[in-house]
Amino acid sequence: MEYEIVIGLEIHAELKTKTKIFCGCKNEFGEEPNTNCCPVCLGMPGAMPVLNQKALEYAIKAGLAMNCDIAEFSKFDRKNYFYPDTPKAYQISQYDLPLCHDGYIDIELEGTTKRIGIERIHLEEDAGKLIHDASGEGSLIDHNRSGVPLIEIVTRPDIRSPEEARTVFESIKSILEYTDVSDCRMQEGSVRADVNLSVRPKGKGTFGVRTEMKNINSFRAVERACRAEAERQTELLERGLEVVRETRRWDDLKGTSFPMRSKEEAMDYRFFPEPDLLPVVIDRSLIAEIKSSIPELPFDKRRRYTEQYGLPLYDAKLLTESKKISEIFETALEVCKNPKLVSNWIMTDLLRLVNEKGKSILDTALNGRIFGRILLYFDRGEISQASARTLMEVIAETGEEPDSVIDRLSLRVQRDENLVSGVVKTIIRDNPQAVSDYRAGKTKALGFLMGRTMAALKGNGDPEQVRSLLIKELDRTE
Amino acid sequence: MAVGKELLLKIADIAAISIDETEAEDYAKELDSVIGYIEQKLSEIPDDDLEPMEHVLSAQSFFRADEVTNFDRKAELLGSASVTKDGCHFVPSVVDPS
Repeated sequence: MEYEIVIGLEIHAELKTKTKIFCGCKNEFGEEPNTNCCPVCLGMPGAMPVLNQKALEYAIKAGLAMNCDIAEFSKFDRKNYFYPDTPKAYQISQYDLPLCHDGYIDIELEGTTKRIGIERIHLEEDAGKLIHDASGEGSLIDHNRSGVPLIEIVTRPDIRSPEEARTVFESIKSILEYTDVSDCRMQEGSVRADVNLSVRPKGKGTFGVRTEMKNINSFRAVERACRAEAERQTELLERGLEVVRETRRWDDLKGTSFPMRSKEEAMDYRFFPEPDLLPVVIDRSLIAEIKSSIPELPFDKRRRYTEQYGLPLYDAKLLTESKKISEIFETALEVCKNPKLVSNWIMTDLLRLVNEKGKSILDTALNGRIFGRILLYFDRGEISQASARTLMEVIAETGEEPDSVIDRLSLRVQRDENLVSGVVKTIIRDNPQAVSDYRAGKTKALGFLMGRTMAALKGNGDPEQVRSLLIKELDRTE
Repeated sequence: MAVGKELLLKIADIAAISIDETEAEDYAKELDSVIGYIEQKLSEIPDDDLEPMEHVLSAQSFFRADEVTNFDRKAELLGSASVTKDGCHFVPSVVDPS
């Protein structure tokens, strides 16, 4: 029998506010444990939470970017659970009146566009971090993360394959990055996904029994977890067994998931309205103001790159994946008006540099404008490809102006005919063997002589010119 | 709503409070009478003409500016925990054995 996979994602993203959601403690990753804590985020009796306006605005911004309706009236609820990462024994979250609801995002996969529903986006606080103690005697808790503002984005079960799940996760991360509401540092766990997955015989109207896998923090892991879980469920069904509704923990190293302890999944959250916080009423004018601050989003950008600049979809996708790269592309394009050339150089040389030297290279003097200038010089034939590469590396290191590096390292293409033909004559005089080979019909010898001439010109010869001068000279002195 | 022993034990379990069978029966009775009293009082209030409400308070939220006001009293805060280790709260192991 053929089975269909049904997936819904819940994506948690930490918001990049300066402070926590309900208190003025710093929202900062990687500090000494328990330094950014106060009675509010530690849940001391009598401490009162007050909502951070910026967190609210960021959540609205994310909602608008994902085409959601923003609730003018919203409230917070207590989600009760007893676990040491949550000192209050409840998490302040939103239950039945989330801030944003009924939105969608468009994704692109293998050339086709698909719309994925966003059921809701709500605001909540993060829990503390549990650190496994090497002694095995217990767990350490760092509450610097307790109370960090989070949004939880819940998609509709519209996703039908592991690849699609990955693309949805990537697209949402990209939107959060473009709207600048989250740092999206995956390796620090600032964006993570829960996967809800079920399988059903193809064509069947109702959903199968689903399982949930929590806290998956990479795109690749989401795709792998979906694939493994779909296989596991399909196998159960094919053997006539039932899928048990449960929460599972994905182990990316082992490439398999395990059921969580029953105690942990037997959660009964007993939601009730948070009495310490008043309902949130949002002014229409605030929503309009936030809406006007949303930049062009990756999906629209991609479309524009293909339509306006005639770029292949592949290029457009790569260039828009990160906001920073798309900014570099657009700025460089203002200087060097050759979209495909700029695109090629970003996809190969710039991204190679990023891989080799780290993302920080994009914060050096090698900005979009300078990168565009280098490409403009190359496009005009004023510098060679090798020189353009050298320029990029040197500027990223020293922060010099392109022209001064070109002068200092003599990188300009040498086209002075007198000078070049002088060099050509010397090469011909100094390499009699190659010359006689050439004349004997061995065309390979021409390549050798070209190489010699280019080397003598320190790589700054114009290959076309060198070639024609060589041939002219060889034919003449025969 | 009657609070039976079973519901009481379930709630105790979720809240990780240890209660034995006899205690559970006593507490269930006590809670029953408290909830019964509230239910009776509620039923005496005419609510036919009341609009449904989302929150008990009719005021609306005010906000805090996103400005750092760090508390900076780590030692004192940690001091209120019963066990600490390496600048952290220390609790019985919660690592999921797999």
